[in-house]
Amino acid sequence: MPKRKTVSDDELVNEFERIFERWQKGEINDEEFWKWWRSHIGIKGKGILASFFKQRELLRGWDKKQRK
Amino acid sequence: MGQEAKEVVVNASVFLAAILLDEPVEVSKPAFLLLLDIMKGKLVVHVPDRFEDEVLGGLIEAFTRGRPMLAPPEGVFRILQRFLTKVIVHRRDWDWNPQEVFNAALRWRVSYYDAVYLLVAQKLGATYWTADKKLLRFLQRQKFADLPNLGWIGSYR
Repeated sequence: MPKRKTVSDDELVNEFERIFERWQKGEINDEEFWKWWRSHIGIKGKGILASFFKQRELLRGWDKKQRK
Repeated sequence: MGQEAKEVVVNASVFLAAILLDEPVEVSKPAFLLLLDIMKGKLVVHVPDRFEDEVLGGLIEAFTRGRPMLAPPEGVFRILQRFLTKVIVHRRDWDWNPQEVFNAALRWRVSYYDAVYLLVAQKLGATYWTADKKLLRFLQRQKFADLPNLGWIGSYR
């Protein structure tokens, strides 16, 4: 993936609004919007969702002893 | 006229999956498509009042762990608000109360946290979408007759 230059909050929001408007008008499809989203909005967050689920498992009392 | 919008309850994990790059595409893409369906008016999304805390809490965690970001935090927050403002928030003592959640958690053998989402979905006759595969497997094995319809986000669309 080519490196993107850093953008300001306002630039990002404005770019999103432009893309969103094009999507609403049917100028780009869901797939194209998805590609834009991944390359512009995505956040690196390895393990964040896994730890989110782990916390929920502990709340359910699902420790190793109870699992099959 | 278009089709009637479907009523759904969405777990915070679905929103997080849509924006966290390290999640598998098989999960993050359908999660994003669900967000688009909200904006298209295909879905009416209901969430309990803890939902936004969880989504934004997950974002804060990503940002404070010092992950290299493609986008600046404030910009991501403002964009996410476009989607969050579309969801209908169900509030404690208005739409659900602790007693019924407590009872539901004991009946379904899930956490109090899970039961809030499940109970809101049950009351609305809505489908509950989550990225939590283990929870779904557990609930499907139990076969409780009064559970709402359940969906794993990876199979959305």
